[in-house]
Amino acid sequence: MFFLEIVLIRLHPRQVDVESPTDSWVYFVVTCIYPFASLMGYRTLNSSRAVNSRRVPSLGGYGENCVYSPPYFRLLIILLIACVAGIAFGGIHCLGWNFSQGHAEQILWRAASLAIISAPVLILPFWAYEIKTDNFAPRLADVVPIVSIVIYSIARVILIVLIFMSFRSPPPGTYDTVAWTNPIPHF
Amino acid sequence: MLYVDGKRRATLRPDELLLFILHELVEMPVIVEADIEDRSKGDRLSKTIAILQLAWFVLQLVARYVQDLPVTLLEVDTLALVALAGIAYCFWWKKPKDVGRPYAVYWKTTASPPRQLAYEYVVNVLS
Repeated sequence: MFFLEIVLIRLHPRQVDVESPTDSWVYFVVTCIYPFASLMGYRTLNSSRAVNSRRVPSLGGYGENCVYSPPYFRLLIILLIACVAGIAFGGIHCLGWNFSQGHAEQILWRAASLAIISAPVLILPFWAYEIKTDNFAPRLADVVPIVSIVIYSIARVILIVLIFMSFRSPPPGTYDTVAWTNPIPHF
Repeated sequence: MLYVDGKRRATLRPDELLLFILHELVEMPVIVEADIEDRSKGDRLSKTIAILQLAWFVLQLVARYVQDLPVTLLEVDTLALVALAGIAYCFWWKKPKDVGRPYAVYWKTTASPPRQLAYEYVVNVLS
């Protein structure tokens, strides 16, 4: 998402006037990427329909110059939460470590789970650096999130594909339901 | 939400609102927590029901594991999504849902209205 933002900044001059927003191709591009960019929490984007929208973006959308907090602080907190959530997400996928649908699938599942854990871990050192020095680490801080997001997205797609592939041969007993009455003494 | 001459302009950011108040262009709105809660369409009951459904899924998954029934990859994935939902519920517990009526801030008619507000930019982040 950040990559797309950079591309947009390069390609398009400063600000787009609101007079006829639907004429601009940027309007459509931002409409598409806005929900994802907001949810990823790396940057907050206003919706391209912000003027007529009655709600504020999910993650604040006040950008870096919000008066109530030091620069970047809000975004860094959101970023930390996102990283922790990502690590937890990958960690739970590791519960499927020993599901064997085939050797290649098993290796892929393990690799993708580890990739999802490692993607947020990549960002954390920069997070610590920015908290400590109160400014952005140049260059690397721009590249690492992009790498991390690309790794994460690819791993997530692999996991979803593997889940659907596992439907080819579900283990016997998949459709059996839990016998809740078993632990209760009965005749 | 800023109203100029009775017409809706745009949502104000905190820094914009503060600026307008300092220049005495708008009145300081008095918004208490109860006002915000009143406009929210989701309450503790609806959130609790959603969380109970999540808990029911987790309970079933644990029971399947205990009774040696097979657990599928789809269920593992859903469990991970449940964890994310749990995190979101923790941090968004007080977030109002579907607020339909913004709090109106009226521009004092004597001054000329602001040229452009942050929410009027199509792509605010590009500025």
